[in-house]
Amino acid sequence: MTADALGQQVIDRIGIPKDAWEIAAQLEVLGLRDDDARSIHGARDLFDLARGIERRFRAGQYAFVVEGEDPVRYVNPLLRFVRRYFAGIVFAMPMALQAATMLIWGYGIWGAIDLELAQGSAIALGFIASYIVAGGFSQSIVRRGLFYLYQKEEVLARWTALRGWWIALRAMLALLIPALLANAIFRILPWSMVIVAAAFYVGLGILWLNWSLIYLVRKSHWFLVVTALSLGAVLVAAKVLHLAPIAANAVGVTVADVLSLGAASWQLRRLARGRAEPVNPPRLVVLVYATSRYFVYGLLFNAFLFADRVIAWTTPVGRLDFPPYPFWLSVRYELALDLALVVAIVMSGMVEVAIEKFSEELIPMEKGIRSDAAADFIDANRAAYRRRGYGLALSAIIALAVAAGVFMALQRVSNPVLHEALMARVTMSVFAAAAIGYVFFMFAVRHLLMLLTTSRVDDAVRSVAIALAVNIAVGFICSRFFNYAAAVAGLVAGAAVMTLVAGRAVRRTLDDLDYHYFAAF
Amino acid sequence: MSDISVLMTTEGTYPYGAGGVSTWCDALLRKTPDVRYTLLPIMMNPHIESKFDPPANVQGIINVPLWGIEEPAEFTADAPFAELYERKRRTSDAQIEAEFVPIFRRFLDFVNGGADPEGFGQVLVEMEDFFAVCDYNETMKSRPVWRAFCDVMQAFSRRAAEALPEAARIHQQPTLFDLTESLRWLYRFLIVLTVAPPEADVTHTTAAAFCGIPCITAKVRYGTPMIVTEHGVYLREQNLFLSRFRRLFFCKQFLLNLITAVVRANYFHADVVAPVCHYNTRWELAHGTPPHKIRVIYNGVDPELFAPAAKKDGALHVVATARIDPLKDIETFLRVAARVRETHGDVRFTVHGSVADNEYYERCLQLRRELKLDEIVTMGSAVSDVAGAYADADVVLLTSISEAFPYSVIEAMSCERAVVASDVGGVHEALEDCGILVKPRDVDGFAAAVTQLLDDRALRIRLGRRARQRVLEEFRLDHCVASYLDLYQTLARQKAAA
Repeated sequence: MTADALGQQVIDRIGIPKDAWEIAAQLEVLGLRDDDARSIHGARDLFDLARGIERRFRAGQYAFVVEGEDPVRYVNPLLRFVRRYFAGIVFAMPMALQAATMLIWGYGIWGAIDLELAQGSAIALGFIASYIVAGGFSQSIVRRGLFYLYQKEEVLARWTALRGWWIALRAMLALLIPALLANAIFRILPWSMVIVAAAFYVGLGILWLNWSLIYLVRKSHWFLVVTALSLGAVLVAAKVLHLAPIAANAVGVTVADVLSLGAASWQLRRLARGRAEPVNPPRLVVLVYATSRYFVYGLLFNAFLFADRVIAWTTPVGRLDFPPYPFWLSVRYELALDLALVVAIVMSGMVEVAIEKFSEELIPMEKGIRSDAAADFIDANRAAYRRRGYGLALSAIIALAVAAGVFMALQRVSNPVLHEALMARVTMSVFAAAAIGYVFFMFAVRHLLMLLTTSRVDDAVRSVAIALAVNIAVGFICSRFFNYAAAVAGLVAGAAVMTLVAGRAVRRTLDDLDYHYFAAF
Repeated sequence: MSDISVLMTTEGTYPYGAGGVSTWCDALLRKTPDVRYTLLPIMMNPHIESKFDPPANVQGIINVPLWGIEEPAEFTADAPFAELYERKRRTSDAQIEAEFVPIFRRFLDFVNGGADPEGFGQVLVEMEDFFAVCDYNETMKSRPVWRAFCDVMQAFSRRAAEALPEAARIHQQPTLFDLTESLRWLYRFLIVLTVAPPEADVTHTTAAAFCGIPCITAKVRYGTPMIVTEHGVYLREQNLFLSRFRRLFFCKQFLLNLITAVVRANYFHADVVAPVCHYNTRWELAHGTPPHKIRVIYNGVDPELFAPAAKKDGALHVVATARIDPLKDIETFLRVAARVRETHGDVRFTVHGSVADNEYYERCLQLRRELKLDEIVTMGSAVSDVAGAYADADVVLLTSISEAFPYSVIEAMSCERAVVASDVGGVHEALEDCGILVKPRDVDGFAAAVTQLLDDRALRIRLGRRARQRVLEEFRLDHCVASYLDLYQTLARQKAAA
């Protein structure tokens, strides 16, 4: 073989050579030795032969091929959109299912139409407390678990998730102690309510933690399965065994806890192939520190979601049902918020579509743009973000129409209690305000997810913290000066502020996206 | 116990990986019980099980995982959390810009320039000093570092493009993805700068690689004598590996420049470069190692452990002990098996070795099916009793396209087996006239040699005996260990005298 043919053979194997050393290494694995370089090609040795090939390459004597990217499998854009849209709203499905069973049979897993208001208030308190307290732990569990799953470290993912779950449970139980002590000292609520609230706080807290495990093992459809089976258990307990509503709900929550934990543990064990202990796990204190920002984010985010309810239900101003205790559920307020949530459900699919699209396009875009043209990359992403914002705005209009339609349709339901509640001025006002609030909120969620995708957790935490402060301040002032239901103004104002603050952080991120993408690992 | 302390650094090998280098490390540590060792293994990720239990004279292990962590503090720092937190708190963009970026720019200039290993060693020490005070993660993921990296690499690329043919120039200009990936890799490879190993009398790196960095900085900082052992030639192996990056020329170039700078700094700062065969010295000399620093120390085997044993089974058997890896060229092994079967239908073939490359293994399985060898070739699993595997062989066959001084050859020789091996690396130094050498990938040549040996029992016996004798004279484990012990003592004395 001539030196030219040999050179072409090497270039065919490696494309553009970095230098003569790379060529020399290839010559060696082709079986050539210094003797061959001397006797066949007249070079001093292999390195000399390699330098000759490199010179000829640089002089343009060899053809070379640089492989292109692997072809991307074509997926019908409409199909992709639908798939992502439904992936986005799948988390709301258990809620929708419960709403349906509540309307048809009068029972949800943690609620029933026939519940006494004291019991309903106690369950609401347990629900809100558990949701807020579990929020931080859930974020930490999912965040770290996914980090290990992406690296195919399933044993570690299981270990950290279950350890996080156990720490969370102990922390949640520990928080009960000061709460019970405070109640003992200040006699805030009667013990009958406190016991119910505490029981549901624990039961639902476990459920939220289990939910995070199920999310971690990427079996989101199990949410729906567990919810359906648990609802079935509630209905059997209430309708067949004739248990009291509160007892039926307790059965439902217990079944949900057992099923979700069993399913998640089974899947985690499967992923880890039965191995329980990882090799050389990380230092716990650093692990806790590394996930702490996500913890704070989850805690504040969930607190934001329920702050207005707590504010509304802790004041008697303008209430016609004369609350006997400092915390007393307003069914009309809750109903209005639940129905307004339809807005968030409809928009959540669009948010998922927007974030997935951003993630999907980012790397191909980075590959296609020269680094000295980073401004083009930034402009293109800014434009895409704006474009998707318009899409979300369109979905907001549709969502508002759907929510209003559902509200009006339910007003026509023959159930007199429901009809009366939905026709009440307070319900309609809270619904209208909350629907707008949820529009702002979903824009904010999109910004927050964008910040989390680019690892701007601090910005996300700051946005939610400011929004929560505004929510509490505005809600507190309005509810104490005007009407308890005006607490919803806090939700609207907080969500609007969250959109503004998070949106500004996103704009800053987009202005420097090349850097932020680099640092997001 | 003697008063010599040695910092031994490894990369992807002892005690977490199997293979020749790990076997060598383990033997050296065990056979020098009077030396106090601190081990510093660089590992791919921290969650792998140890393949070896280090002996009692290993007094500390400082694990340095590169991947599988969110930040080095999870594993590499002994510092209490409060100190780690304080380090993070005090690391600001302004401080990075003022203090770290100038060092980082010099570092990149050394990487891109490829020369001045002395200056490169100095800049590594300055970076190490910075990370002793400021947080690594905050620094390396900071905006000032990213901007400096983009700036330096774009300027370098503009210059480098001029030397390329017109059609290739576009690939020299980095995309945003190229820069992102390159700096993320750099983040991983420099994690070793965050550890602070104790001062030792001698440092010993088992590859001229990133694991040599703590030895280089110890040399610059304290004048600690440094030994580099090269089993394979790291630079050559990385050139082969990164040649696969056909789509990402810039990334390949950056990584190879980085590796070249690190390798040359290893050679420059080492007091002794100890390759395992003369063949390796070609690359070492070509990359600036002064000839007087080079001292070839051949690998050795324990002749009691790898002793001749009679073969139990009567059927003819050709054996390879090699992991399933493209560098071992198992495909050629299979083609040789197919060729030999044409004349010797009753011969069995076995490759003892773990699967190192799953994709390649699948390709080999496919080829085995195509050649209809499923019944006569066994492969895909490691063997615990290596000596037993040789005892069960009539011919030992090594088809590698790249080797240094393979254990599989000298172990087979010690077991009095006839060896057919590719003439790569230092194989001819081991085998000389005690076996048959064939050009790599030469299927006909390998098949002819194997057939000749299978047909000629007397020749097999004659070559096997000669091979055993050569091992007893040249490649005993005791000789190898004694050479290193002598080096430790000499260098430690020199340091004490200085």
